[in-house]
Amino acid sequence: MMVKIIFKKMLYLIITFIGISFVTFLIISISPGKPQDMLEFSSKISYEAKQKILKLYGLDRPIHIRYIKWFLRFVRLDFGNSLKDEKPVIEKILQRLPATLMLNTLSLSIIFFGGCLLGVLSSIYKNKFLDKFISFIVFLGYSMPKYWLAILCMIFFGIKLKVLPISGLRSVNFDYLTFFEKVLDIAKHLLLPVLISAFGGLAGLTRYVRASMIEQLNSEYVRFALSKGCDTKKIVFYHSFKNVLIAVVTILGLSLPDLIGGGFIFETIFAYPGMGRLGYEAVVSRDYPLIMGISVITAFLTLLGNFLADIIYVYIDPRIKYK
Amino acid sequence: MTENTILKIENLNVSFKLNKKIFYILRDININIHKKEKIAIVGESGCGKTTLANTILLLNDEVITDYSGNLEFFSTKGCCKKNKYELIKQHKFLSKDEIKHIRGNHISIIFQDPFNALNPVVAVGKQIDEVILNHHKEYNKKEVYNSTIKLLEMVNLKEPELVYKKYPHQLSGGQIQRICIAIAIANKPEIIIADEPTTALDADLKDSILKMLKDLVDKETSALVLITHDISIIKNYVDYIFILYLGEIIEAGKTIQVFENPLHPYTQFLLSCYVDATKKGKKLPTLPYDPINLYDKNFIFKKCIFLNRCSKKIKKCETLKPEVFKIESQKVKCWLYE
Amino acid sequence: MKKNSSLIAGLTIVGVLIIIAFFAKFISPYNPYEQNLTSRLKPPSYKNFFGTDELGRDVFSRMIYASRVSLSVGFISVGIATFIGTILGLISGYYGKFIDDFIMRLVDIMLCFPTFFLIILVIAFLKPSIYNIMIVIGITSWPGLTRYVRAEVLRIKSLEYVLSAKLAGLSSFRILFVHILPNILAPVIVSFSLGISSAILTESGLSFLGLGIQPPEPSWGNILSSGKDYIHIAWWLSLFPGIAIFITVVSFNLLAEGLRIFFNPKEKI
Repeated sequence: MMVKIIFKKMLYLIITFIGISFVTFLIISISPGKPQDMLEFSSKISYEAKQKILKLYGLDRPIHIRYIKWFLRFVRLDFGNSLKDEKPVIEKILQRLPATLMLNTLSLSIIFFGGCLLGVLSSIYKNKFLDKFISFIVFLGYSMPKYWLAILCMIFFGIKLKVLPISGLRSVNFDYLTFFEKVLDIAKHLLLPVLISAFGGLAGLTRYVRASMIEQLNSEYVRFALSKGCDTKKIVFYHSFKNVLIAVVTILGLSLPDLIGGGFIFETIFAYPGMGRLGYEAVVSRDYPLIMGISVITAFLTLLGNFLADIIYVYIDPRIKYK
Repeated sequence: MTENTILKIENLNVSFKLNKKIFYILRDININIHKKEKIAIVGESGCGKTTLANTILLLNDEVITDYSGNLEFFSTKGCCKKNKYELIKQHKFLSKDEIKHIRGNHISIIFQDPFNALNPVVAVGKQIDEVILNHHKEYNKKEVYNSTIKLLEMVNLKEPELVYKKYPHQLSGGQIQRICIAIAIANKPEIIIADEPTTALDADLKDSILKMLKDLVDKETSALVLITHDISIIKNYVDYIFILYLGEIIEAGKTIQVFENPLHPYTQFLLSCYVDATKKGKKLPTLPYDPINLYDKNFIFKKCIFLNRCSKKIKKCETLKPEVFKIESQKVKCWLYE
Repeated sequence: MKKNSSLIAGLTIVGVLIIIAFFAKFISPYNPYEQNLTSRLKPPSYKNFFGTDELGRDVFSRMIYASRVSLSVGFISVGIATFIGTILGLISGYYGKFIDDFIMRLVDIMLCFPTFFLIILVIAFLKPSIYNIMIVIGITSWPGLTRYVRAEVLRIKSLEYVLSAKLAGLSSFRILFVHILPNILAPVIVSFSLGISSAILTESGLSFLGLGIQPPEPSWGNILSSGKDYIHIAWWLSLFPGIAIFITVVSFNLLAEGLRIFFNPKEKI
């Protein structure tokens, strides 16, 4: 049964992935401002040279052939070379990927642990001061433009107080620091980007956990557990939270796209050397192979995250296994 | 009060505060339960049966509920230093820790809706383990598991080792109710409260579940409080009946006596439905519709609560609340017996 | 009954914002496009409430005009998204089978893709005009609603009254739009209000990155963007537009919250 579910999810994963890659390919191909236009305007290049370049990139072929060719190359992780500096796209992406993964993993952990903690606290102290305070912060978190928050924090912590660096991942003198200083340096650089990119998701998850905890705590099985002589702590953290946790996994999986999407803004603001900023630069300079590579890798990571969430969900929810 | 009393409910009032109105759910309740006694509390929906069941274990929503009167429990187990617990003493309650000690250990409860009574994501065996562990911290894993398996056998579930690992959604309503019963009897409590234990079940299961419950109660020498709206099913199972109507006990007596000689017009009506149902071709009697608001102080504290539906009412019923009259061992709250 | 303060507050602020946007011409003290190079980057004063920008334009006037951009982008893009989302959800839930599979796959694709990146991608290749932004935000933000509407339709479809409508020989079209749609209208309206706040956030984010509304056309996002360039010397360029976006988003969120309570008075979470 289990194998069948996983197999089905994998199949969905592949179909969705092909769909995403095709949509991306389509958008780039049909929009005005195709890469060959750049060639049209430069009079220095001769007609023969232009044809040669078009042929080299396969731009003279019909769109579906180009897509299939591109896809076959993609399976071998060959996205071609960047138009800007002729470096292989995959190399450029791999160079930036670890920083982005680190940022998102940290944000996701903060969202998960923070959201569960605040949501549970809020539900226990329902309608008391703590709950109202948390709900207020959550509401702010929902409504605050995150990049504005980023700028305010940069002004306050970076420019006024001068306690935190406001851009990049390492200080200029990074190579001369001792190991612990290096770790501290990176931590300092990460602090603002991680906290701010986690803020929105944290608000969303807290709200969700609170609402479902309240629903669970009002259910009949909680009253029955009370009648068995269980103490409140056990009911909250064992019985009710177990029910809520199952849905939280799915929510986390679904929040991945937002997190990664938000990365494009945060990484640009904080000049963070991640894939988001690379993507932004690629879009601005219309670096066609790089855009393709980044969007496909991004989609792949998101899908993988969702897939993992699905699998965990199947494992922890007893109601699915036997269906 | 006699030697054998284990639960004494004295002038108990329970009210809920909702939307700034006070609803007087239960008023002036007096019940004594003796050791090994089986009683039934009978009443229509909305009469406060479930609130009464919850009150005995202080399970009502703390924020909105207000209690007054006395509720005392006398332990006969001899397992602990104390044997008298004042669950409710005027407006005060027993301490949280002591309530926890009583729940599931001295007094346990079976709820009406088995489908929602168990945690959907915890294996049923674990949920039985839990009630044992709550009150027997000294048991090791093996001992707990063995007692749970024994309990599953006691409630006639086949292949207990298999059932242990199942989740609620994999079991039928009857099976889940058996598990709830296993949880209720796990610690051999002095009192088991069964709140409409068979209402949600298929008709063919009702009798076998009730019979099993009665046998288990006898075996464990517990007392049983059976709460039901269906007077027809209890005759063979209980010794004593309390008739609850809109939050008041209007008649109480030995089962046989109440069935043979119902005093209160409401009880007479209830039993006429039951008796007549066996005769063919006769229409069942009905009562006129009478909505009474449980926050209407002028009505519920000044007049007979059954007034508007009563076919035998006299002048006095409209001006004065009836007192309790004793006819032999039966008690009735009606001016007709003054 | 308890007063629905979220609804009142939300409606009031949204109302005020709409009035400001509508009468921008009369409220703003200066021409928002008029440059005055002799008074560049002046801090807030009686003359210029919110100071001036790097080209000496009055920030207050520019912000008043920018409210038009935000509100119209919000309403129109969410209008598009709500239309697509509701229709697809209805079809998917009611007809099921192949068409349901297809639409749900499409929803999965859209939900798995970072919407913001998709928008950047499209905007980068199209000309970043206000109309393109509305359309792009509109056609990328329907999947959540589709999923919700579909689930609701599935639930309602199994209710007896729909069955009896079918037995009475009513056409599918009539059942869908007369008997099912009104029952899911309330959550759709709530999501409309929530959608507006997220569309406004997206638009200002795009403008902030320089991919949205292009100067000299004013938008809160692009004022903030120039604020970032002068972060060390002109704090007012970052502060005021941010507050404006924040208040607008808060008011639509409050409105959504209020509407939710208004439609389900029992639910108090």
